[in-house]
Amino acid sequence: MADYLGEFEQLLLLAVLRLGTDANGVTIRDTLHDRAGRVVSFGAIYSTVRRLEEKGLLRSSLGDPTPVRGGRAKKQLELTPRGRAALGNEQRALHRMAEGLKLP
Amino acid sequence: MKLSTWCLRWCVAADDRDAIDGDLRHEYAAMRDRGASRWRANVWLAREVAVACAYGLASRIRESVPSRSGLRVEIREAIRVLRRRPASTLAMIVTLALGIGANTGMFTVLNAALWRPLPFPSPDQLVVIREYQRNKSDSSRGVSYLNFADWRAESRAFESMALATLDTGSLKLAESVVKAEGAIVSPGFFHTLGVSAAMGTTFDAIGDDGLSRFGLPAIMLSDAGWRRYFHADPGIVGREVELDGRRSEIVGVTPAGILPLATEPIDFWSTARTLGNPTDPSSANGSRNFRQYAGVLARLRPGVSRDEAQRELDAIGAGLLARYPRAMANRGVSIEPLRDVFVGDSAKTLWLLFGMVSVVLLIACVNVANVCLARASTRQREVAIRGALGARRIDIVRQFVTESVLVSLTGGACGLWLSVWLVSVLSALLPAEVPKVAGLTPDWRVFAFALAAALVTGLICGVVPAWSATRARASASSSLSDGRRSASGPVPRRLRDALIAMEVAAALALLVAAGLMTNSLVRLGRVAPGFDGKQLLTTRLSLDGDRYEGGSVHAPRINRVLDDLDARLRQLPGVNDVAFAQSVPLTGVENSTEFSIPGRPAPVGKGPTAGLRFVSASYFHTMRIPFVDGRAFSAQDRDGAPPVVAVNEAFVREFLPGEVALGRMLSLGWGGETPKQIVAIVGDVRHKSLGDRPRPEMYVPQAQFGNTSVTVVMRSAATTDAIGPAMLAAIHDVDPLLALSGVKTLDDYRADTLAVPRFGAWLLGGFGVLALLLTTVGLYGVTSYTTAQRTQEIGVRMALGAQVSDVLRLVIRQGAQPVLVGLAIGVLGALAASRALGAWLYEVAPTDPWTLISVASLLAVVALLACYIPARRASRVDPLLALRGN
Repeated sequence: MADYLGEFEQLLLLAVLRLGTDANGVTIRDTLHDRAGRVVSFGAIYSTVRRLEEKGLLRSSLGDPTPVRGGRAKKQLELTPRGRAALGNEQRALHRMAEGLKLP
Repeated sequence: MKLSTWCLRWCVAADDRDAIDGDLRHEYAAMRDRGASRWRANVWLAREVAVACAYGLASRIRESVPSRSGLRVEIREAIRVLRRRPASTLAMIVTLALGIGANTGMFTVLNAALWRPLPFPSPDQLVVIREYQRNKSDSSRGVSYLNFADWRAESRAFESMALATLDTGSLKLAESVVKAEGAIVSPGFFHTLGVSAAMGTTFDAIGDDGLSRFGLPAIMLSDAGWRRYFHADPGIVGREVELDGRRSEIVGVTPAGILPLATEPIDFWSTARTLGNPTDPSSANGSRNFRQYAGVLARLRPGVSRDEAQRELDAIGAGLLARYPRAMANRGVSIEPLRDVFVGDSAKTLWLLFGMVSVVLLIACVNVANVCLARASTRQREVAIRGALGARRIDIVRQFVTESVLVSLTGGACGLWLSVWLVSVLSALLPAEVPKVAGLTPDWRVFAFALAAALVTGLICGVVPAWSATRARASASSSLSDGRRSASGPVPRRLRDALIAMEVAAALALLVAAGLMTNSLVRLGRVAPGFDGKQLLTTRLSLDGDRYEGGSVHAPRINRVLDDLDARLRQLPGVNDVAFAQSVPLTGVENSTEFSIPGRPAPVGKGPTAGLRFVSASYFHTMRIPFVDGRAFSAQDRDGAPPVVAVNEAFVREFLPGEVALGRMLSLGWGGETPKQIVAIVGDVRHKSLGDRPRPEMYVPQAQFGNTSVTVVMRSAATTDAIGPAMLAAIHDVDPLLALSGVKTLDDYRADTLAVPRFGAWLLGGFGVLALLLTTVGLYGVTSYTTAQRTQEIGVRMALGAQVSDVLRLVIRQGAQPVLVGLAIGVLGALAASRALGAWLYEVAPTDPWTLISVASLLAVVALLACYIPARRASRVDPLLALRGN
């Protein structure tokens, strides 16, 4: 069964893909802000991450704790193969749907 | 920062908690580096934490709610557990059914009086406007026709308005004349109400003159009157009838169910015109002084508030005062929602009773919580095993709550059924003053209330014991290994005792309230009203209409017929005394008027007022009202003779203290213009109600005024059934066209005035007995349970030489402790709360020591008994058996 993705889920997965090995809460938030112009709260990010993890599209590992983080570990994120496939499918579907259309 | 960490720890699942916390710290530092103020950064942080916590909590709740199949398993499990102990399960269900049933029953009454929408379109816009006299003890309200006409012409806040007042009329039928209950309303009344005719038209189609197309006065019938007097004749519209001796045309019939507009059912409607021509200053409608109408029914324009309307009417009133300074002095205007006018004072009584009945539910709740608590303690092992197998605390609590909610829902369903029965009992007791919109049938609000009551009780009864049971998780291992309970029991004794104390306190408070009300009712019943009401028969008749009035008051004609009536009635066997009066005590009919004592000028509109009664010469003797001083009215005090007046002792006390009252002159605002001489001082009578102190009253000879609305009072040794019909027949001998109400004795009226206190006392008494019963059962249950737990310990004590009396003392002392605490709290609570009862009590202080002491001792005795029975059982334990182990 194909995995369908919501709009915010796609944005988030794209951000993780773009950030590569440096994908964590703070960098994802910044990327969403810089590229998509979205201001998103951490609560929303983590709740979506959690859902994507449960679906098996994302996986996480704990990064190194730094002093600026008050000794709290980072949650490093990475796409699973299934996540990549799902993202590719959605993007292609979007592309095909939009093909030949003039959008403002 | 610390605070945010703490919040997150509570709300967010462990795996994300650190990551979010770290991210927030990182970002916070970055913001500060970018130069954001500390305040802005903190605001940002607070928002972030709130959002994260909301997401975290939402996902937690989602996880803790079992799937549908999981729920089904849980319910099946709960049913299994409940069925394992059918006796205590049944006891819990019955307890809750009683508690919820009593509450739902009371709620049904409250709902019908306070919340059911009135059966009119947009009922919230309907208001009642009434005038009152400021700075006056006289609190009566009413409206004069001319002021109504000015409001209607000048105000913009109302869509429409119409006058209304209750009246009786003689309706001439084919073979008899009946005294029918009616309402006088101005055209536009039904339009304002939003009601159209079931047959024919309403008055709205008729001009302000109130005449039908044939030039006859128009009347309408109510559905009840149409069925009662015209056998539901479908061709009634257009029929000519005689009302109060005037030919009138029936123009329509109103639909059923537009009541409750009055406590008495209305038979007919007539128009305002019948009270007289507004342009004739001598007619009732032509004077601003007479607040002749009960009130004005008005519909506010959509979006206009009552305050705005009030300001507008006040402004109009100021204009009227400038134009008519004499008549309008100190006149105020009130605007009240129609519903409030219907409900009146009974709302307070209903809320009081509802508050009291909720105490019964509280007691039932405590009982069930106690049973659950006891059960939970026997399931310590089960809880420990579940915990060891990985069940979270919330899972175990949920299991307990599922059980208790199942019990309470069953109890609630039984309670709903019980309440229907209870309401049928209540409706027989319910005083007529309490409005019942659309009857006392349960509607969705009642169902919702019963459901909510059941769910809330279920939750409370389940959560408390579950919490205490799972708190003992620390000792899980000992529970597993031991399996038997120690003497003190894992049920925290303090919690159990607190519950018992609370229950006893609540029961005491309720019983005190019931005791006070009963005490007050007994005292009211013993009140000497100032007259002897035994064997006094009354019937009301109207002498108005063309034959007697001829357009204006005509005393000689009325006197002649009353003399004839007097002579005829005295011929009846066993009749000694006959008298006539405009209003008889305790019937709810009240008249008062302003008066002045010549030589003592009073500012206009601020003069003293006193009750005014028109009575025949034989009235005082017939009623056995004693003469304090002066002479009785005589047959010579008639029209033409010098006007006289009698006053009561309260009048002398208030207005002529320390003066010689006899021989003084009084000028009355009503009842004849010429000043009257005081010729008699008579004893005080409780006119309005038994509980009301006697007020100043003036008696004017009926023969000197010719009042048209007359009550016949007759003293006879025969029973009402025997003499009543003869009385009516005798009156019809004199004038076959006189309209009569039925025969009612003064004792009947007296019983009517006691309806509200009796209702309160009975209901509170019922609640009190229920509370006592539940408390006793609860106490007995807990004591027997705890004693049973201690069988082994008691066996040891007895083996070591304890006597039966020692064991008794031990058990009773422990059982009595929380009861005594509860009694103490209850006495304090009752002393504090019973003040709210003050308004309902007659000559009983809310802190009446005798009531308090007797109720507390009753409760103490019953509680002792509830402890004694299990204690005696325990003391008969065979030490050998007990030691060998249960």
